[in-house]
Amino acid sequence: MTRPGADPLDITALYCRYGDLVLGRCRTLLRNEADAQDAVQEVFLKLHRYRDSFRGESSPSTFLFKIATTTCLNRIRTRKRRPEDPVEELPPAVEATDSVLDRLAVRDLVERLLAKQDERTQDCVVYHYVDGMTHDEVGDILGISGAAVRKRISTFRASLRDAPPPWLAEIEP
Amino acid sequence: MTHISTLKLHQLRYGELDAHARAPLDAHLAACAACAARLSHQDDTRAAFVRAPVPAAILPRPTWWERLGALRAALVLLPVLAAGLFVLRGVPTMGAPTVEAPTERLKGGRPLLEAWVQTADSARPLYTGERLRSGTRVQLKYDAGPHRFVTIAGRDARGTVEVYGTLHATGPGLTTAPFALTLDDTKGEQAFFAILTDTRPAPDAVQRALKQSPIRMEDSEIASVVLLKE
Ligand SMILES: [Zn+2]
Repeated sequence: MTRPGADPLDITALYCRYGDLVLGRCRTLLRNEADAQDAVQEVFLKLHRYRDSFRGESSPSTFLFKIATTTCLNRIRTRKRRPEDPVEELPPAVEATDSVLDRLAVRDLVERLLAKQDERTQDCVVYHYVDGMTHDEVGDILGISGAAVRKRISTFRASLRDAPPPWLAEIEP
Repeated sequence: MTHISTLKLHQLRYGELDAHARAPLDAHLAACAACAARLSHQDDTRAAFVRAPVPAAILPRPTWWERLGALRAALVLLPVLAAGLFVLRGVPTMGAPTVEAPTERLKGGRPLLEAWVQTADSARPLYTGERLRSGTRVQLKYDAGPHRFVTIAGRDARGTVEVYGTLHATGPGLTTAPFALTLDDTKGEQAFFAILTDTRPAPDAVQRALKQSPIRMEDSEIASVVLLKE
């Protein structure tokens, strides 16, 4: 029997293969476990909407990493004030991170970013400082040039000049 | 030292990089404790992730064709539904045992058991761990695959097992159980199980299997969904 409307994009299979990548991404940026789990579901539900662009992607991991990042940043941008788990109360598996910056630094960076920078710069800074991507890698994922990324990163760095946060010296001595 | 990007670490784990791309990363990992720790954090996340079930919310929604089939089945089953309303009984819990979901079908394969919540005019799938109030009506759907029998059972937070019945399976495809369950006001974890077998299992064998940890039964596939009653 054929099923009208059946779609070969198997979201369950993508979840099984890449769900941990998306979960890791959401935990790093959102820091509240319930929010992170919620965002993971949002990412995979969004795939229905992005199915055409998804099929054109050579790397599902890159595409999912990008959607997850956008989803998290949008959540942070739109939330006014929501309780977050204090870092010290998170279970150890959640407290550790796979990003270049530790959790406290990510929190500090996101707060500085959201206060002053435009959305494109926020994207560039997160991929570069939190995830350790080179300017060219950031450019690839955002569809802009590496030089444009470099410019936005310098703008952000300039905004920190008066009182540079300690984490900046750690990653860019 | 420039560290490896988070995404590259994922791609390395997934085996998505060729030897040429891998070589410098392996060299960096051998020399950089920070990146090695980040990679092992990803491994830990993966290990915990594969033990958790797929949330029902991301499982495919039925197409209108499947809905039509479900509607026809619902019409036929209407008298059964009315007659077969179960009320789960239980006692308030202290130190409730954790329900261990069996691992037979985690991450991949077909969904064997889903719990749906019914409201006046709609239904939606629940995800494992979802909190529900007493009085909520839950409808179970199972996919028996090639198996001939499906036994539906439940276990509450105190470990009390109830076997609701054994049904003749109707083949592969998501099938709605011919009864709904109404949650009582007992708090804590409520697990539902679909035990798929080729011969009709003895009820006490099912009871024994579901009281074990981890749950195990010869020649069967067992699927579960765990809800939280509050
Ligand atoms: Zn490193």
